[in-house]
Amino acid sequence: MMSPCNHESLLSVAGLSVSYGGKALVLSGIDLSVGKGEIVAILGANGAGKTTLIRAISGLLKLHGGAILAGQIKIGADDTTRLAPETIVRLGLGQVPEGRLVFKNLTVEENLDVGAAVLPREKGRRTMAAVYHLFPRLAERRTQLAGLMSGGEQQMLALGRALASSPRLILVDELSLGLAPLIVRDIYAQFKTIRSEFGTSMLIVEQNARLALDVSERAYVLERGEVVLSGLSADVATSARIHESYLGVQAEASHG
Amino acid sequence: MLSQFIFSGLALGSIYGLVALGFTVIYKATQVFNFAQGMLMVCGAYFAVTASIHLGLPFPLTIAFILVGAGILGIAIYFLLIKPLGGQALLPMIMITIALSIILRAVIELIYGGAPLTLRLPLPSGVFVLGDVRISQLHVTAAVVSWLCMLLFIVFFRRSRAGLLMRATADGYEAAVLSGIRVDRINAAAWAIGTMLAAIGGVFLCQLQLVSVELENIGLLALPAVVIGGLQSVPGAILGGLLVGLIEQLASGYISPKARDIFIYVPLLLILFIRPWGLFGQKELGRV
Amino acid sequence: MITTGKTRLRAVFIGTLLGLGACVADAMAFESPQDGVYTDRIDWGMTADMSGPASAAQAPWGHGFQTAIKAINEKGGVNGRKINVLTEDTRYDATVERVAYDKFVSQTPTLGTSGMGNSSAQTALVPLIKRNKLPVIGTYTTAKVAIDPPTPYFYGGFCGFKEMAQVGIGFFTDHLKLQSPKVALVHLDVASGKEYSSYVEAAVTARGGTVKSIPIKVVAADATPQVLEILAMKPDYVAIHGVPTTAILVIKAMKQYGIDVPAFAITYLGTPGVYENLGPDAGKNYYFVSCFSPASSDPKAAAEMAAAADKAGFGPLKDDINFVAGWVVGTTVAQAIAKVGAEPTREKLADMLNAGFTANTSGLSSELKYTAADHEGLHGLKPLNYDYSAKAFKSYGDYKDFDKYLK
Repeated sequence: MMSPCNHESLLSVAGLSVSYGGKALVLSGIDLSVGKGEIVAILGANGAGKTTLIRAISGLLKLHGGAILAGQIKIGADDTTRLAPETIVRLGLGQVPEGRLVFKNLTVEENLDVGAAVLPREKGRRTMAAVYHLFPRLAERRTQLAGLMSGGEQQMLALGRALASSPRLILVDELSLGLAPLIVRDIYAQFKTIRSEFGTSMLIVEQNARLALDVSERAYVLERGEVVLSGLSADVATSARIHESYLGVQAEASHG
Repeated sequence: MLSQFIFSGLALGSIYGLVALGFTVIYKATQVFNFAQGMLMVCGAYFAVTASIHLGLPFPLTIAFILVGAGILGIAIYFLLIKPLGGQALLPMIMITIALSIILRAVIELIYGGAPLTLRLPLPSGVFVLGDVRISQLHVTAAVVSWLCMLLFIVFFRRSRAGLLMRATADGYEAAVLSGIRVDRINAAAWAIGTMLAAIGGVFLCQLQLVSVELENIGLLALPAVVIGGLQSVPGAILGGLLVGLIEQLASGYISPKARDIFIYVPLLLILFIRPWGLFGQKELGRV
Repeated sequence: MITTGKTRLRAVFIGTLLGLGACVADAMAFESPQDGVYTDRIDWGMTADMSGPASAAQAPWGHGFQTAIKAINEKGGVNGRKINVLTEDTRYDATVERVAYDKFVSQTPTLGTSGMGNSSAQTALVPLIKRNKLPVIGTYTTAKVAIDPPTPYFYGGFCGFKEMAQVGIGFFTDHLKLQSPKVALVHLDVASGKEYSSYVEAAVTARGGTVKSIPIKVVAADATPQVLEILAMKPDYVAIHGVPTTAILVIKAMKQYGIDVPAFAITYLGTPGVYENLGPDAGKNYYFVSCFSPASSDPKAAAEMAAAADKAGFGPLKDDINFVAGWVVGTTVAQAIAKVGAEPTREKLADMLNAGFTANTSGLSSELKYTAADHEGLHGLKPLNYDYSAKAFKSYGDYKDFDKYLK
C-alpha cells in the first residue's frame, strides 16, 4: 500500500463499519481520506459498498435503513458521524447525488438559488455568478424548468447546485450514469477548473474507472465492503489486479 | 336571482378555497392527505372564542391570538404526529389524520362543552344594495380577506426564499436534504401555514353561523375542492373552492339542497376518471 | 304475582345466608329487582344525546330531567324511595339508543325510561316497546307510530308538530289580520320536516291561504337560496323547522335581503342561544311556539325550578325550553310513580297511566294529561319571543288562549 496523503486532511473516514437492519456488515473497517485540493476516486464493482459509503458520508444512511456501527467520519475538524444530511451540507460538503435529483418543477435559477440558500445572500450571488461562468449553458437556460432539460444539462445543474453552496468538498456519485460519453467527458473536463476556481476538493464515485482514474490524483478500490487497494491513481491504473478484475470488465463492457 | 347566487357562491367559495389552500400546502410539503383539515378550521373558531370571550382581548389581539395559536397547533401536530409517524404509506397517514380530527373534536367538547356557542366579532354585518342585488358585508369581508390571504400566500410561495425552499422540498425530499434544506423547519412551517389558513376560514364560518364542532362538515367541503382543482396545485385549490361554492349555491337554488351533493361529487368522480391529477394539477404527481 | 314471589324467596334465601336479621327484615319489604325497584331506591332510565350533534338541545333536556329528580330526592324521594337515574349518552346514534333500551329492560332493569330523543330510533323501537313492557314515559320527541295507536308502554313528553303548526299559523294569521295568508315554510329535508310541512300546509289551507315549502339541509353553510325563494314569494310570514343553525342562517339572510316579515319556529328553536346569536336587530321579528315556559317568561311558576337549577349549577339553562321540558318530564315521572303506590311495578305503572293521568306541572307547561286514547300528553302551546331590553322571554297570552286553534 502507498502512503496516504501528505496534504492537510479535509475528509477523513476511520474504521467505518455499516450494516442495514443489523444484518451482515456492508462496510467493514473502511479508512479513507481526502486532502485539501485533492480529487480522489472510489472504484468498485456493483455491490462493493460504494453507494453505502457515500450515504454514510452524506448522512443519508438512516433514511435508507442503515446504521453506522463503528468508526468516525470527520469533515475538517468537525465530527459528522451520524449527523443529519442537511447539517453536513452546511459544514461544507456539496452533493451531486446519483440520478442527479434536480428540482424538476423549479427553474434552473431557482435550483441554484436553493443550493446557495445555505450562504449569506451576497456570497450566494457571487457563487451563482461563478457557476454561470463555469457552465454558460445554465446561464442560457436560466428560466427553464429543470425537468424539461436534457440529462446532461440536468447533470450540469446538479453539479452547479452543489457548487453554489461554496463547499469545501463535493461528493460526485455516478455522474456518468445514463449519459452520452461525449457529455460525460465535457463535464469531467471541467473538474480541474472547478478545483482551481472554487478551491473545492472532490470525492468521485464512478463506475467508469478509466475516466475516474484520469481525473483523480488518488484512488481507493472497494471490494465486498473493504478497501482492497489504494494509492496514486496512476499506480492504481497500472496495478495488475485492477486491470484484470475491474478495468478489464469495464473495457469489455464498453467495447461490447 | 342568478347574480345573487353567483355572488354568495363566490363568497362561500372563497372561504372553501382558503381552507383548501391550507390543505394543499400541507399535502405538497408532507404528502399527507389531511382529513383533519375541517377540524383545524373548527379550531380557528374556538381560538377566536378563547381570545374574544374567555380572555377578553380586543379585536386586533384576537386576530393575532388566532394566527399564533393556529401556527403553534400546526407545528405541534407536525412534530408530535407527522414527523415521528411520517414516511408511511398514504393510508396509515390518512388514518392518523382521521384520528387527529376525532381527538381534536373530543378535546374541544371537553373544554368548551358540546353546545354551540355564539361569538360576535366586530366585523361588518350590514348590507350593500346594488340595484336589485343585495350583498352581505360579512360575505364581502370574508371574500376580500380570503383573497388577500391567498394572494399573500402566493407571493410568499413564489417570491420569498422560504417559499422557494418549500417548493424545493415539495419537489423532492432527498434532493432537498442534500441541498442543505432544513426540511423539518420547512415542513413545520407548511403545517403552520396550512392550519392558519384553515383557522381564518373557520373564523368567518363561525360568524356566518354558530361556533360548533359541526362546522367540520362544512370545512370538509375543502376536500372535493382540492380533488377537483388538483391535489398539488395552489391555484387549483383556490379555483376548486370557488367552484364548489358556486355549485352549492346554484344547485341548492335552482334544484334542491340535496342536489348540491350530486353536483359536487359527480364532477369529482368524473375528474378522478378522466383527469386524476385535477383540473389544474400536473400529470406528473408526487415524487419522481 | 308469581315473579315477585320467586324473587322474594330468593331474597330471603340470600338474606338468611348472610345471617343478618336486619337483612332479613329488609328483604321482607317489597322488592322487585327485575322492575328496578329496591327497598331504598327505584332505578329509572334516561337516554339523551348528552354529546354529539344533537347535544346542543338534548343535553339541557337531560340536565333538566336530572335536576328535577335531584330536587325530589332531596325532599325525601317518592314513598320513601330515592329515584336513581341511570343516564345513557346516545350520541345521536340509533344503535346506541337500542342498546341502552335493552339494558334498561333486563341488564340493569329500571322501572321505566325517559328521553329517547332520536325519532328514527324511536320509530324503529316501537315493536320492541310493545313487547318488552318497559314503560317509556316522557320522550323528547314523539314519533307518530309510537302513539297512534296508543300502547300502554309509551307516553310522549314534548309539544307535537301538528299543534305547533296549528297554533303558529292560527296566531300569526289572526295577529297580522290576514284573510288568506301567504306562508313560506323552510324545513329540513328529513322525515320530521316533511311531516311538519304537511301539518303547516293543512293549517294554512284551512285558513284559505297558500304555502310554499322550501327545503334546507341540516349541514348548510348558507341559506341564500332559501331566502331568495322567500324574497320572490313575498310571504306574510315565515315558518321555520330545523336545528338552531337553520333558524340563525335563515333569519340572518332574511335580514340581509331586507325581508321584514315575522318568522316563527318550532319549539326546539326557541333557545336563548339562538336569540343571543341573532342579536336584537334580527331577533326582534323571530318568534317560536312552545308548550313549555322558559323561566323568565313566568318567574312565579318557575320559582322552584329556578332555585333547583341554580343549586345544581345549571342556572344559565333555566331559560332554555329544553331544560324546562326535561324538568317537567322529571316531575311528571315522580308524580306517576307516587300515584302507583308503595309497591310500584312496570305493569302497575303502565296500567295507571293508561287509565288516565294528569300531571301537575306548576304552570311550566300547558296541561299534561294522558288518557287511554291519547298518549301524546301535551297539546296546548303559546307563541313567545325574546325581549332584548328586558332580557326575558315574553309570552303572547296563556296556553288556553290558543286552544281554539287546535283541531
